[in-house]
Amino acid sequence: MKRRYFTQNFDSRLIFCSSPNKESSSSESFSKVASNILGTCNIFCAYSGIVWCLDVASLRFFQIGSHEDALSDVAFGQTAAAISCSYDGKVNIWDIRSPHSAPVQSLQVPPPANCVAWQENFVACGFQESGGLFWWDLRNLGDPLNLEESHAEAVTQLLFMDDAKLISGGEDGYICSIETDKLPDEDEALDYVINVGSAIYRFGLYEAMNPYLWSITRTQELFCFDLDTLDATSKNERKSVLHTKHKLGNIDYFISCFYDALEGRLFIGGGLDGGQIVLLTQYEDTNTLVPLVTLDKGHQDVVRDLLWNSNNQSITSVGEDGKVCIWKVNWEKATQ
Amino acid sequence: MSKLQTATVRSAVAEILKESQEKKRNFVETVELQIGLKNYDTKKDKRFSGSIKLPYIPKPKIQVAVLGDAIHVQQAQELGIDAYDVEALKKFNKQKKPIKKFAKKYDAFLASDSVIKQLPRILGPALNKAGKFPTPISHSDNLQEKVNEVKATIKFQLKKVLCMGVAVGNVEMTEDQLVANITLAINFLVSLLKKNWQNVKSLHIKSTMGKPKRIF
Repeated sequence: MKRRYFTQNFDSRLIFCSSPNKESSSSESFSKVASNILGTCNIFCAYSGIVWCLDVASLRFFQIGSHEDALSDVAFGQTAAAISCSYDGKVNIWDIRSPHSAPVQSLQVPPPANCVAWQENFVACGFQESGGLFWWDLRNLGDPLNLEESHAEAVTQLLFMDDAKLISGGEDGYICSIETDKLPDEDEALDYVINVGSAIYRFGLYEAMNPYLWSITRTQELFCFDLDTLDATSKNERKSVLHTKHKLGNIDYFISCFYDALEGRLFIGGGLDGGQIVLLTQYEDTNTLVPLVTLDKGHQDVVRDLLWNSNNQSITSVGEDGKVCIWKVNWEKATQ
Repeated sequence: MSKLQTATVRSAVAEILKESQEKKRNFVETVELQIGLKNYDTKKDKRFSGSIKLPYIPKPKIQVAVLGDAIHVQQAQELGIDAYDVEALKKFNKQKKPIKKFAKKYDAFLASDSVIKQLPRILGPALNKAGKFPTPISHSDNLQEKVNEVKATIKFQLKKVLCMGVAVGNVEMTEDQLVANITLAINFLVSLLKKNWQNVKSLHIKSTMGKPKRIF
């Protein structure tokens, strides 16, 4: 069987590598980065509790507010409105055009808050260790709806899907889909459950031929699911990297994934404990990963999140070294 | 490179087995691995949790049930495993209390691919809340192997304190089996830590009623 190798010439350059506050950068750590839909502003989850944003055009950091404890999740709800949640139990909505001010809205959950998602008028927040999940309608703020039936353990990530669906992933290894227009009856609203098998670290949605979901477990496995059939289409472990042309050897952990519609490909970010990032893709058999680009000399510690900006073909990475790095990538294919 | 001395593990296991024989209990004692961590910040570092499959089943008395289509139900019955088909599950009529009781009866579930998609609609979220949503099985899987896989999988979770215990075996296993399970579990768990062995403060193994034996 003839092997087809990718000898892609992918050009990558580190164009930005900085921490927002040079004095306290040694104790700062970032666990997540999110972007607004236009890619003009990034927001970060900082260990210090400060809500930092980055203006992508000017590459300037600005602070929009702070929490009393480490941030656990951030997201944008509109172009200029972001939401953050923290171990302090607060879910704050910020107007990024007014830095250093109080939040526009502040919601409370029993601490710690683990994750948050916001779409149109709805906000969902996962909290505590036993699968707590609150749901608010911002137009009608009373007590939140308590959706605690779908998870046995902490909900670690929430995502809204366009057609009134809330997808949640938890430490119990379950990915659940709730049809939000069937709420408040949680029993009726629960649509499907995927049992990934191990605590979920992160997941994402992408549209290839059908809607797909990728998920990374805390035991460093990567699964992809076809959401029409709910079947797993691939399973990768850290060791499944085909590293013939790749000097760094096996990756130590998975960071995150992103799908580039132009390339028609799912890119998987793998990391090494020293801070190097390796972008991988799935080989034809889909159970082997092929390294494509190495992004090194940027981070010095574990990289916690990656974000693809399709507007300017760049990747933003954040990590436990308290740094934000931006890499320019130029894909040029050459398969032989 | 592993900092674990096989000889230390082996002698600790031998001691545990000997002590459990000397003072026999009315139940099969579980052997547990206790991990103490250091230089680890639960808010800064990635959470330490998940499931791993051990080479030998640590707790053989785990009750498994199959929620299957006709083929899987028949295979299960041949193996002496409790099985239920969609019709039987529909009889619950989505009533919470009986479904909760049903979930309590078994430690884990397996379900056919075709059935698993309908489960939330037939049973509601009760299995989720119990932490017992089934593992999928396909027709190409060997049912007995899948059952054994489920029985051999252990969950671990580090919450707010820096120590954690995981069941790795029982006193009726052989020394070799226990050593294999313990070694695999330790090496895997350590590989998930950022600083690997520098994040490990101590390792102990103990049987339910026995004294802890330090192995690192």
